Amino acid sequence: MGATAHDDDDPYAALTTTVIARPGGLGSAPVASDDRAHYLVAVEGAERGRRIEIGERNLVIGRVKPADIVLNDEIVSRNHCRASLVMGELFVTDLGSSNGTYVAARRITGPTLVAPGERVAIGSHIFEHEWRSRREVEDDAAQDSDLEKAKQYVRSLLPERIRQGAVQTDWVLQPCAKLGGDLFGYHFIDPRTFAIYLLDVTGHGTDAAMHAVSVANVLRQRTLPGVDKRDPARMAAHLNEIFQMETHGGMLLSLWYGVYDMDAGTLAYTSAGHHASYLVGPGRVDALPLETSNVLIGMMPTYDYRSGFTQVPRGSSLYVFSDGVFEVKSADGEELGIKRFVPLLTAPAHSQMTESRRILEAVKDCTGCQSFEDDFTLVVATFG
Amino acid sequence: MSISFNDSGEVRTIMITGRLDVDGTNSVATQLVELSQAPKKGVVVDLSTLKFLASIGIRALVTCAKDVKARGAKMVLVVDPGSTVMMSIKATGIDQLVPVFDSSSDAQRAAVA
Repeated sequence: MGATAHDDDDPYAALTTTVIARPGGLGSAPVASDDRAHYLVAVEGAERGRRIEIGERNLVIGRVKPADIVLNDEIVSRNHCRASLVMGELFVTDLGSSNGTYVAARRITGPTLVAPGERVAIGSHIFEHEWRSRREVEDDAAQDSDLEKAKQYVRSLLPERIRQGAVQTDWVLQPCAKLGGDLFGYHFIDPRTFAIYLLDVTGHGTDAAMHAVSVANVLRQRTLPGVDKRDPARMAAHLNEIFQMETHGGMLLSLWYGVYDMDAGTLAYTSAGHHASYLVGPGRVDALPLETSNVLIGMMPTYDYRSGFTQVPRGSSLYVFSDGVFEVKSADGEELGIKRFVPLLTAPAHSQMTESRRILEAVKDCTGCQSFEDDFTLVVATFG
Repeated sequence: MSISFNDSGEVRTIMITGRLDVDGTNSVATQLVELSQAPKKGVVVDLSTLKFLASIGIRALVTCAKDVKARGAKMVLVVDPGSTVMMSIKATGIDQLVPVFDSSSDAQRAAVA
């Protein structure tokens, strides 16, 4: 490089402006609203989603009537605790319950202030204190109802589990509260060729789910003119031609698509912006990553997708999953991560649980999470 | 979560810290697009101290890179090579659309090259 004066010599010499924005800071504090009310909303437990408005009248929460709020929960006492408003603030008081009432993870002994956002544990239920306008709550309820319908629709598209034959399947899809954009499927292209796929649309909500359904509808078609469904790279390229983000609401998606040839005992696959799926042999010793380095579907119009290829020993299991399975934060804030997730795949099978259920429970055990921020989607195919 | 920027000659550097998960991305996406529209030849998006990059964050970065390219400028990224953010970048293939550098000075040079 020459000796001429250049900005590179001191990248900040010509520094002109710096702005720091801290979203969620004071600037974006919620605006006070006249019709705000106090709510306890169940975020964990059998009655997750239940919303209790705390008004001027004290409410007793317990296991049976005459408690005002009855929770069907064995470890809740008959008269467990009382919620009341004092000078416009929410207080909770334990009524001598056997298992205690906890506010912000501390067992309470007297009337205890619950700040907005703090959590109250009553038996196996956890409630969050929300202080919000009634109108907002009503709008959310309408949206939740739409999300619930979208969830049911996505669920209706999922394939039946295959319990016998040369290819057997088992899966779990636990949609997150906001509904992620996960969808998967599998089918026989012909009696000896089995296709399996999982896609994950970026973002959450009904728009992501609708996009996932559109893409899956292409994958579900038995035949596609001009496309050999046995060729994973060609399949990815076909979807990429159709679903460019500029013409599809800015949506991108990752895809894992595999084709098992029963006669040859081989699996051809492609991962398009998606992490690896894993093949675990009958001895359950290693988990072999199956990944090809390709970009997300919808990002680059003329991308040349590549396939990978592997032999499949009889009795092997294939694990295909979304990132919601391993991008799970535990209570201490640490991420599970794929490196800690993969060893769970080779752990011994459970006699009482399906394989997908076993892994779901193992992730819950590892992280202490009972519900997830993203869809938890895992499909297991076993090749006999 | 924070987003900040500084300008040096023909390069605008945008620093994002924290987590680009659903909430984090929602809170900075609009600012990212606005900041990247400054009339500069190069835009460096510095993710070297970012803790987490979810798929929605990837979408925000791709959208931004395409907008920058559409106005005839160039966007590059700075990413810690050993981080989980780098793993997300590689897995999704953004590095095939947007050049990625370990160091800010390399990125600044490349942004105007």
